[in-house]
Parts: sequence; C-alpha cells; structure tokens
Amino acid sequence: MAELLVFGLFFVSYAVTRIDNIELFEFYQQNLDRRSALWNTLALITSSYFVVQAVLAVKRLQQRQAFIFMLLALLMGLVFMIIKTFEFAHHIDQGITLSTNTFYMFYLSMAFFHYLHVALGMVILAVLANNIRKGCYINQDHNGLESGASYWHMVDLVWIILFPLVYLM
Amino acid sequence: MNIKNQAMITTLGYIVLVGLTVATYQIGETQNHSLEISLLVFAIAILKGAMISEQFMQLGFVKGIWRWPILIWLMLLSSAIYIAFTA
Repeated sequence: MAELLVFGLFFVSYAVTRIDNIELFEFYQQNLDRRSALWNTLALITSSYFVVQAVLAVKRLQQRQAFIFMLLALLMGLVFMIIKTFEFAHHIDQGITLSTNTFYMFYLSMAFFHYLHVALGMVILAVLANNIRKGCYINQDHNGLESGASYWHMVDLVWIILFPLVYLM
Repeated sequence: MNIKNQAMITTLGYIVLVGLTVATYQIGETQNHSLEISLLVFAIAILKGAMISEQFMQLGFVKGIWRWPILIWLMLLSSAIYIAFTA
C-alpha cells in the first residue's frame, strides 16, 4: 500500500500542476510514443495474467505448468523493460532531462520510479519461479507466492493508471 | 469458487482488459481531446484497475477488509483527478 500511496501522490500532483500548465502538458504529451506505451501496457497485463495462472497452477499442484507460466510472466516483464529502456534512451538522445520543463519532470520521475518497481518485481518473479522449480510451494503455504504475485499486480495497476494519465489525457 | 472457475474468470477478465486497453488507445489517438474524452479514458483505466484488484489479485474472492484498500485507493484517486481536470 505504501507504494500505491506514493504513486497516488505523484498522480494527483501531476493533475494539479497540469491545471496551470495545460498547453505545455498537452504539447509535450504529443512527443511521447503512445504506440510503445500501448505495447508496454499489453505486456504488463499479459505478464500479470501469467502470474495469476502460475499461482492457480501451484494450487492445482501443477508445478511444471506454474514454472512455465512464471517464466512467461518474466519474459513479458522483460519486453516492458526493453521497450521502456529504448524510450528513455530516445529522450536522452533528444537532450531531455528532469529539468527540461515541468511536464518532463513529472513524466520522467513517474516513469523511472515505475521502471525501478518493474525491475524489482522481475527479481521477485525470478525468485518465485526458482522456488516453484524447487517445489517450495507443494505444501499449503502459498503466502510468499501470493505476496510476490500481488506486488507484480500492483506494478501493473500503477502502469494502468499512468498510461492514460500521462500519454492519452 | 473452485480453481478451475477462477482460472476461467481470470482468462475472460484478461481478454476484457486487452480489449479495454486497445479501446483506450484508439480513443486517445483521436484528435478530439475534449474534457469528456479525457474523463472517459480515465474512467476506463479505473475500471481496469478494479478488475486487476478483483480478479488478478483475487481480492474479489476474499471476505473482510482486505478487499477494500485498493478499491478505496482507486475511488480517492479518481475523485482527485476528476476535481483537478474539471477545476
């Protein structure tokens, strides 16, 4: 919940700052790559879906299937990170930084903060995949697995709000 | 609810989420950036967020207070964004 509160403050600050800078925000929004953001959204939603299926497969005692679903979730997370890395690299090539203007200050802060959460989430998914492979969740204790999965869904949830707020609205 | 049904509901939810995401993108790509369009796009995002909470996090299958924190977060966030965009 702490992360959600921090992102919530980011989103509200962005929206409130936008009130006095509507033209600036709308102009620079056009510079963002919406198609990449669409693919990123689909990658994260798909990744979250695979994580749910992995958790359900563990509960059905289908460890091998759960491991494959977790690897697919990791792959989709990797797709997100690759696309986002290219997007950041493009901004850096254009000389865009946090101090370029207020819009980019918010956009880069939120997007990079989220990017770090995706990176941490992928480490968590890798640990979960390894634990599934080793059969750590064969007994009834799935708390660690479900906590890790919830973290990944939270990362997905934040992007689902960030995508329209920054790229489309 | 048994696990097989949960898996099926999640798959249906995933298909709806993908459809809503593509629809949001298409709406956002239109040149008509009116306030109503922006709010519609955000309302769809909030709906998607609720689906993530209820189906992917499986909080919809949980009884008690754990179901509510994320839904309340979404409600507070949507209220604040609505006020900011319509101020």
